[in-house]
Amino acid sequence: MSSLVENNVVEFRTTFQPVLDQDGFLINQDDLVCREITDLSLMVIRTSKDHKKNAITIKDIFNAKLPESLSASLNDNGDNFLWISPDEIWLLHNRNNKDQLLEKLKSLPKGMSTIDSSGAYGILEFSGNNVDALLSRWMSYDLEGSLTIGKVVSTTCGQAPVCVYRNIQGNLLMMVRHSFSHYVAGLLKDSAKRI
Amino acid sequence: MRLKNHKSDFIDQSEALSFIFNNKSYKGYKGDTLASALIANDVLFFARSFKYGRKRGLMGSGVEEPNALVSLEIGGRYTPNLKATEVMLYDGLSAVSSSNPNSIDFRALIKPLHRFMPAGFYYKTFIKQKVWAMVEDSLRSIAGFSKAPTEKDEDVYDHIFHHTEVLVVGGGVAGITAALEVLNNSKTTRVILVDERAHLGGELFNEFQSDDTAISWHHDNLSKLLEFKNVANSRLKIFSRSTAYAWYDHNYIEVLQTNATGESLISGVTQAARKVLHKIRAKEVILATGAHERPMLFETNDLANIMLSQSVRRYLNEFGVISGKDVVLYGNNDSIYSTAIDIKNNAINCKVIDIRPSGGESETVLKAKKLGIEVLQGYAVLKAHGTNLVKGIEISSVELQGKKWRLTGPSKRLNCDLLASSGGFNPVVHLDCHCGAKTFFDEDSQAFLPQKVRKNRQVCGSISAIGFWKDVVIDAKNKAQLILLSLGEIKKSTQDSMSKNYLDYYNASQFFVPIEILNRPKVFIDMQNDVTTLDVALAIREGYRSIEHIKRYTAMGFGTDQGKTGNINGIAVAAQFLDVPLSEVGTTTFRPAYTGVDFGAMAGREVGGFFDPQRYTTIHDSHLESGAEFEVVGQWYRPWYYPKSGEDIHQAVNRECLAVRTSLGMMDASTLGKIDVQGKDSREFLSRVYTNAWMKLAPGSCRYGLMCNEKGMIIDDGVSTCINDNHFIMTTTTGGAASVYSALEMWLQTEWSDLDVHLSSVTDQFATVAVVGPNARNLMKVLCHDIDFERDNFKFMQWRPGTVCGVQARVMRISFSGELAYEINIEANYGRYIWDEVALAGKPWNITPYGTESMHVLRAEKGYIIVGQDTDGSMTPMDVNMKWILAKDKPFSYIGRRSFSISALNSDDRFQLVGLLTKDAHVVLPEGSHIINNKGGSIGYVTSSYFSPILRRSIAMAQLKGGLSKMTEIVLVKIVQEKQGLKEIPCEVSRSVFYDIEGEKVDGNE
Amino acid sequence: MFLIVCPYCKESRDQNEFSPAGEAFIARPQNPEELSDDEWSDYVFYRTNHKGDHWEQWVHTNGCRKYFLVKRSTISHEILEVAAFGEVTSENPS
Repeated sequence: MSSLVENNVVEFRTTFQPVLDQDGFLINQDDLVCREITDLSLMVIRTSKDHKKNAITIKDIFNAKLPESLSASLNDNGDNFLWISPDEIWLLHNRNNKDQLLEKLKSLPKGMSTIDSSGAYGILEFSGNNVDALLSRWMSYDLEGSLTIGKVVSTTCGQAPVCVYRNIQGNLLMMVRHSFSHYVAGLLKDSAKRI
Repeated sequence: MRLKNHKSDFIDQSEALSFIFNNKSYKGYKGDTLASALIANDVLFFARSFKYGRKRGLMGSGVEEPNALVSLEIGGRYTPNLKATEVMLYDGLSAVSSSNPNSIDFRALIKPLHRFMPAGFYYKTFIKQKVWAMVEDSLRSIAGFSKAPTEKDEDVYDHIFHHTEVLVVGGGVAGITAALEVLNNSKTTRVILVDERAHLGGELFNEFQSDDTAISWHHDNLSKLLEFKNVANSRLKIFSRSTAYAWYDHNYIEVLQTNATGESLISGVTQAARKVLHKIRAKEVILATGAHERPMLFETNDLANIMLSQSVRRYLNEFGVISGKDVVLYGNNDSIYSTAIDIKNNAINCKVIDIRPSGGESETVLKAKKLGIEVLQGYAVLKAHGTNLVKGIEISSVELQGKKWRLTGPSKRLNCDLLASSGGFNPVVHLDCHCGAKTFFDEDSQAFLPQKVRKNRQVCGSISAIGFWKDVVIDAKNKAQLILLSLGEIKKSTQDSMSKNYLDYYNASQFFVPIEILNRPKVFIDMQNDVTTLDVALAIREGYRSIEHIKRYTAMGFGTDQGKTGNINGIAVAAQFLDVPLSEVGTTTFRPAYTGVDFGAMAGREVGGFFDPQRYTTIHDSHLESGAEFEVVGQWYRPWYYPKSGEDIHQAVNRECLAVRTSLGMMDASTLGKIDVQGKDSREFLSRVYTNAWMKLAPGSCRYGLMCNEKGMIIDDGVSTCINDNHFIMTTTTGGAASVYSALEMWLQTEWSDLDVHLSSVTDQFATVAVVGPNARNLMKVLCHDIDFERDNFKFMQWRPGTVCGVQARVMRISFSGELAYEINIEANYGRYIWDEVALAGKPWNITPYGTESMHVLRAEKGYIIVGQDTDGSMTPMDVNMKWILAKDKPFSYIGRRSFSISALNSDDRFQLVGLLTKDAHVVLPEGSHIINNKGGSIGYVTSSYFSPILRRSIAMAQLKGGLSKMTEIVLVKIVQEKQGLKEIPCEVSRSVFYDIEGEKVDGNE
Repeated sequence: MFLIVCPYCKESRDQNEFSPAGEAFIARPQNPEELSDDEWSDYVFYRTNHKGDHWEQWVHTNGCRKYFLVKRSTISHEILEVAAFGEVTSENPS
C-alpha cells in the first residue's frame, strides 16, 4: 500500500488549468490574448495601525516603498506590492522564492501579520488592444479612463470579486479567487467570441 | 403607393426584399421599415384597437406609433407587440398584426353596446370578485394584443459598460452639432452619441427636397463626425438604432441598441448578438431628443389613413411612399404647409386647412399659396367621415376668442382619402424626468419644456421648442459651450445669438379643445386604449380630478406607446373640462423605460450557467468523474451523492452511510468558510463573538463554537483551531461564510477598533479532504509518516502539522459524524491530487466517497444541528438545548448575551429543538411538515428528516412548542402521503441524539 | 445605480461594489447588563428611519472592504458627504 503512495509524483494544479486550451491560453485571438500567470504567487500582508512603522518595515525587509491608495510599488527582485486597503497589501512574488520569503516574513513586527494566499488566487494576464473592450462587458470600472499603469483596483467582474492591476508593460493582471475561476473564465470566453 | 423616380439615400431599389404580412406576400426594399413597405403596397389596415376592436391604420412613423402593432417571426425568434414603424425590413420577414384587422372581431360586433362601456366600465361592472372571476378568461382572450412567447429566446444579448465625459442623446441636427462642438474644443474628452434611427440626421431629411444647404450641411458634418470616429483609440462612439430608455441616479443611462430586427443571427458555430444593452455613466448629458407631433382632435379621428403630418412628410421624403392621392393637411402651425409643399412638388393633390386666421403669414405659408395649394384659413375639422377608412371631412369656421376657440359658421363637407394633422409638438422630455426633474408649461410654444436648470445636463433643439434647423445649430453650439465650461475645458463660453424669429417655427396656436368638439362621441385621445374625450369628462365628474387619477381611471397613456401622441392632448382636454390652465394640470410622471426593452436584453448573458456564479472546489473534476450528483449550497456546487450504476438517491445514501459507519468514507469539505485570525487580541475577539470560552484553548487544539447575533439568535457555528496564542483559524458554515466575515469585520471596524486583530478569508486557500470511519487511523498512517496517530497522542479535537503524500498539511481530528475522522487541509492547488491519492490508498478498506446527503444523515443520527436548517434565525442556544455552550464568566458581554435574559426569550412555550421518532419506523416525514395540536393548528415543524441506514428506521428533528418538556409524549405530524392524501402521523418526542449516545465511536477501534 | 466615493480608495465607484450597513452613530452600549429590557431592545431594534438627510454606514464589500460613513438624502439619493469611520461622530455631524 505505501509503495502506491510513495511512487506517485506530487501533482500541483494551477487555478485555471481545467479551462485553458492545449496551448495554455484562456483566450487567443487577434488583439486579445489571455493566459494564466503560473510563476507568481500571492502573499497577503496585513499592516499595523502605525503608518510610519509599516513604511519602515516594508523598506527594511523588502527594500520597497509602502504603496499608497490604489497603487503598486516594485523592488529590485521584481516583487510587486499592491495596495488593497488601508491595512492590507498583496505581495506578488516569484513562486520559487517562497521559502526565502517566508523566512523574511518571520521578522514582521507585532501588529503585522501575513497569510499565504497563493492557493486562493489564480492570476490572468491580458494583452492586446481589445482587452478593455472585453472586460467592459463585465466590469463597471472605467478601465480605459482610470486604470493607468501602476494602478491596482479591487472591484467586480460580473458577480465575482476580482483585483486588477496594470503592470509596467501595460498588460492587465487580474487576480481571481479560485472558486470563481470557472465562472470568470466562462464569462470572458463567451464575450470574446463576439469581439 | 411608392413614388416613381424617388431618390432616397436610404431606399436601395436595387435590392428587393420579400416579406409576408398577415399571410399575404409582398415586396419591399432595403431601407424600408415594415410600415413604409406596407404603405408602398397600399395596405391601409394594420390592427384593431384594444377595447372596441375598431380597425385602425398607421398614424405615425416612429416610436410614437399607437396603432400598428405586429408580432414578428415565430418560435425562438418570436417577438410580440413591435411597432411596424420600428421594424427594419429584411428578406424573408414574416409578421402578423397583433390583433388582426381582417378577421371578424367579437369586440367590433358589440359596437352598439360601446356607449355602455365607457371608462370605468370594467372597474364598476366587475368590482365584485365573483363576477370578474366568471368572465375574466373570456375577456382576456378577446382583448389585448400579441400572445406571449412560449419558446425559449434563442438570441444572444450583450451588456457593455461605458464611461464618458459627454453623452449626447439624439443624432439629429442638435445632437450632431453638440457632439462636434465638444470634440472640436477638447483634446481628451470622450463623447458618446446615441440615436434611435438607422441614420443620423433626425428630421433634417425632410428639408432635403426644398433646401440644398440642408443636404450639404448633413454631408459635411457627418464626414467630420466620422473623422473623429475612425481613428485608433477614438474618443467618439456612435450608436445608431440605439434608444436611451432610462436615466438613473448620477447620470447613469441605459441604451438599447438593436443590431438586427428578426433575421437569424446563427451562422455555423457563431451567433451574433441581436441587441446590446449599453450601460453608460456620463459626466455631462446633452439631451437632443427632439419632439413628437400631436394630432388635432375631432369626431371619429381614428379612421384609417388619418395620420400625423410630419410622419406623412417623412414617409414621402425618406421612403418615397404615400398612402393617399387626395390629401388634406390640417393643423394649427406652419409645419403643415411644409408637408403640403413637399406633397405638391410630387404632383399629388392636396389642400391645407389652418385653424389660424389669415393675415401676417410666414414665408412658408406664402410659399405654399404661391405653389397653388388651396388654403382654407380660419377653419377646423369637426368630424371625419367614412367606414373604417377616411373618405371626407366636415369643417366649420372657427375663431379664437381670448384663449378659447369658438365654432362660428355652418359646417360643410370636403372629400379626401388621406388626412394628415398637426396640433403642435411635444418635447421628448421623458429621460430628463426619470430621476425626478420637472417640466413647466410654456405658453408661447404651447409645450411642456424641460426644467430650465439641471446639474451636468443641457437640452438643445426641438426639445426646448426650437424648430428651424438653422436655429437649432446655434442653440446646440451654445449649449455645448456650456458643457465645455462645466467640464473645465474652456474658461468662458461663447454664446451666439439666435435668429430674430427663432420661436416662430415651433409656434402652435392654443390647443383646439372647444367644448362643442369635446362633447362629441368618438373623439379619441388615446388610440391604443380607445380613450375618448367623454371618458375624461366622466372621470372628472366622478371625482378623479388629478391628472394621475384621470390617467388611471381612463387608461390613457397605458399602452405600448405610453401616450406619446395622446397624453398632452389629454391634459389639454382635462384642463378644458376642469376650466384651469394646462400648467395647473401638469403631466403624469415619466418613468423608465421610454420604449420597450426585451427581457432578454435586460438579462444579457447572465442566463443559464452564468445566472449565478457556479463555485467549485479544486477537487471538482474528480467528483465529475465519479459520477456525483450535485447540490447547490449558496453558490457552491457540492457533491450530493455518488450513485453507482443503477442506484437512486436512497440506495446511494444507504451505501455511503453504512460504509462510513462500518469502514471508511471520504468527503470534500473544502467549501466551508475559513477565516484566519491573527494578532495579540485574537483570543479576546473570539470570546466576544462566540458564546463559549477561548482564553485557555491551547495551541494544537480545536474547539466548536456557536455564534449568535445581538438578538440572541444562532447565526452560525464551526470549529476554530488554535495555531498559537496570536493565530487562530475559524471555520463557518458554507452558506454563512460571507455574511459572518462581514459581520465580524463590522464589529472590529466600527466598535472594537482598539483590538489588535486582523481577519482574512482563507476559504479558497485550503482544500479539505475528510477521511471518516473506524479505519480512518489506518489510512492516515499510510498517507502520512511524520505524525504520530496513536489515539492518546493525537486526541479528538486536536490538530497536527505534517506531510501527506509529500504535501505540507494540517491534519485535524474533528468529526461531524461521530466516527473517528481526520480532516486533511492542504493548499488548494494540491486538492485534487490529495483526493485522488486518498481514494487510491483507501481501496483496501473499500473507501467510499460520500456527499452532503449522507453527511446530513450521519450528523442527524448524532443530533448535531445544521444552522439554517434546524435553526432559522429565531432559535437561541437554549432553544436547541445547548445551554452548556454558554460560558458563564466571560468578562465581556459577548454578542447575544444580554438578549438571553430578555423575558420573551425565556418563555417555556418557545419553539425548542427535539427529536421525533415515527411510530411506524418506515415512514419518513417530509421536512417542513407541521406538528399539529388537537384543533389542527401548527405547534411546530420538522426541520430535518431522513431514513437512518444504521438504525434501520426514520429519524427526524423538529421545532416544537415547549418541546424540551414533552419528552416521550406522542404528537401528530400532518403530511401528504403519495397516493394516500393527507395523513396524521403519530410520533414520539425524543432527544435528538439517536445513535452512539455515549460518544464512544469517535476514537475508533484501536 | 448610484456612485459613492470610497474615502479610503479615494475614488468614485458604482453602488454594486458596496453594501449598506445600517444607521450610523449607534454605539454598542458599554454595559449591556445594566440596561433594562426596554433600553436594550431600543438599541437592538429601533432606528429613526429619517426622511431627508440620513447618516448611515456603508462597506466597500468588493473593494477595500472597509466600513465608512455616508450622509445621503433618502428623498433624492444625493450623496452629500462621505467620511472615513470615526472622522465624523454624532457630536460633529455636518
